[in-house]
Amino acid sequence: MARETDVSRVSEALAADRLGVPAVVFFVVSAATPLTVVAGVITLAYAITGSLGLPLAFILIGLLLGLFGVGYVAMSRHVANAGAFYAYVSRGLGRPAGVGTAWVALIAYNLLQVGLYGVIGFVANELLEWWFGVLVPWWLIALAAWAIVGLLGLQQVDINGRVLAVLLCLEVAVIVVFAGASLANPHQGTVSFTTLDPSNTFTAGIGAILVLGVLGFVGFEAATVFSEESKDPRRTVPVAMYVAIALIALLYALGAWAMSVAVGPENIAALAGELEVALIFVLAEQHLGAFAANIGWVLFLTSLLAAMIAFHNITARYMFSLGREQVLPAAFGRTSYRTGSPKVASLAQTGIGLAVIAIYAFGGFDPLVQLFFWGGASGGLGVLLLVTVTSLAVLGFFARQPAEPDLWRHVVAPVAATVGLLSVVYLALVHFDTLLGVAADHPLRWAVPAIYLVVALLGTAWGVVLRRHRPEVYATIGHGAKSAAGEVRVSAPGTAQAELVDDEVSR
Amino acid sequence: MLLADEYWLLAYDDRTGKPRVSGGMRGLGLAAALIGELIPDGNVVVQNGYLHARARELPPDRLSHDVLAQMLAEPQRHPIRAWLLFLGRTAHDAVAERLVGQEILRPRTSRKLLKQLVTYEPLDANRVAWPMARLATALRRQSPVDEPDAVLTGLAAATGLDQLMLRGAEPAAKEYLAYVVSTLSTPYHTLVKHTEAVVGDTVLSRRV
Repeated sequence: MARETDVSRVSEALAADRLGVPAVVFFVVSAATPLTVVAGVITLAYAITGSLGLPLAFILIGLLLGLFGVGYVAMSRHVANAGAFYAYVSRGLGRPAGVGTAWVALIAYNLLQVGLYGVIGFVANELLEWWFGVLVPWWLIALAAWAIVGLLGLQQVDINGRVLAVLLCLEVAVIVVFAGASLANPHQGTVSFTTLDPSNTFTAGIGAILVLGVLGFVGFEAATVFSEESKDPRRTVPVAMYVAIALIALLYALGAWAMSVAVGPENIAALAGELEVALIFVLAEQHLGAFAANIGWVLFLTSLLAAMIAFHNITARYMFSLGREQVLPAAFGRTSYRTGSPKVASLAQTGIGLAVIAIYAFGGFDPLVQLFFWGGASGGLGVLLLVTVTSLAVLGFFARQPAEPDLWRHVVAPVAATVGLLSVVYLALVHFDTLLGVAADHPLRWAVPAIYLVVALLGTAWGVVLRRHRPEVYATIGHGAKSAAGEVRVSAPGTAQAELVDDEVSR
Repeated sequence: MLLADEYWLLAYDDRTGKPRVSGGMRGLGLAAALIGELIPDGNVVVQNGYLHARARELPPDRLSHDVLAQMLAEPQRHPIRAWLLFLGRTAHDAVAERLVGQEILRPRTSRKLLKQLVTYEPLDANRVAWPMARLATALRRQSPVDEPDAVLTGLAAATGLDQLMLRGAEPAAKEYLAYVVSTLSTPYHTLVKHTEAVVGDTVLSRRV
């Protein structure tokens, strides 16, 4: 037992379990579910918005989120519940605003998750008819997917990491190979760069495609969850986040551009409207044969299932950490001792999914456009609002830090990101009708932003109520699971200087 | 009986010896109990979320002694969280061995495919079921609970075992449990709350 003790066995042992850059990149990219975005979101985006600026929109949003990430990662070291936007807002703009943000996040992530039930129902319905000649209603398939997701959510099975890694690599391969085939078979023999021309991005519908750009990146924010578990908290998470954002941006831009090259920019909107999510698979069949297209279809289905499970878990964990803080009823913070899953939160999420599928099935609504696309677009707007408020929170936080600011990380990048994001929010609100593909006076066009606003205000008001009536709960808002420990430090064990997470609480 | 032994008996089925609690959380519960064993003699002080070990009175138990030796051998101080994660990696086998030594459990080796699995079967059903029965009854009757049992209750609740302990009980029993935990002295209370926090964090950062 007595041994030369320059080396800490504790630090060594725990370091062995830590994640490096590739693991975090994998996590982020798989949460972004690339094939779901390329086959599902991009095709519908061409069809519904009619905008040709999509490929560049992904690059623009990637740059903007990279800029946002500078301050976000810098602040994450001071935030206990580092994977959740509301924790940043609680610290940067005050706890009531944090509660408002949390409520908006719950709605936004929920919209993204339930929307996926629509697309998987629609796609599997078409495939079953096409492959086997059987007609199964979309909602029956959605219910089957719902049951799988609900059961896995209770088991805390995040699909085995290796399975996910293989699926992700295959998905990326499909996107790249299909895009390559499209570029090799351009419309009328010439590769068109029209959709990469900035003048096509900065047009009347720019707000719409920028929201879709944000939608494609959802999941990147969770990289900071791993700060505590990463090999080098100061390096691993930021590097992984930038790599992931760059990869996602390039992949989506490539996918979107290649589609327009294969069918010709002038035809893309009409053809995407006709073929919907089948577009890239039809192109693949023409260029590479039916076998390749079928592989693509199967991977699209597995990608959708993986996306559903990922978003189910993101949402359930959001509820769980709010339950732990007792901002939501404490029951949401209950863990299943048998599986370690956030039991009540997961069941609640499953219940919401069932309700939405039932409403759409009985109401006879369109699962693809009205559930998947509207859900995705509205959820994307929500996430854009979350990122923007968090960017303001980063600014607010560093402005109040007594230490000499790191000019780039604490001031320049956050200011630039905030200005950029606010502009995107403005454009998104102005062009939200284009995004949904509805008339300018359609009620949904204002209803969705209004719901976010009302929920944010209600949440903030609830935060104020908590301050007055339950100060002990108020004190730990934004601490997530660590709220149990009240006064908590975050820092990797072994790094001698631990930071106090929330000096106000410890006093 | 020592704290970690009793936590073990809560966390495993009293007839089959199979775990009731999922692996990671069980490890954290056992680790917290091992730390808790060092608190009464002043060998471990919990302060500001950090664990300070000092050789006050060497514990007679070998495992307890080994844990303390590990703490003393560290060149720097670590947060409780780090100790929970570190000890949680090996606590399972270490505590099992201690229970085997007391002839409460018996190891059984089985083969599953190519892997050799060691499970621990209860030898004395009454002794094994006693901690769960004792706490469940005390909480239901709201009878006074001594400090070791209050710590055990706190650790059980931190790892979700309160749900099993209070299955079918009146809501008053649940309130009484919260009260019992709130009366813990500061070091134990801190230990329990940090265990709860780390358990929550493992739920949140469950790797995909």
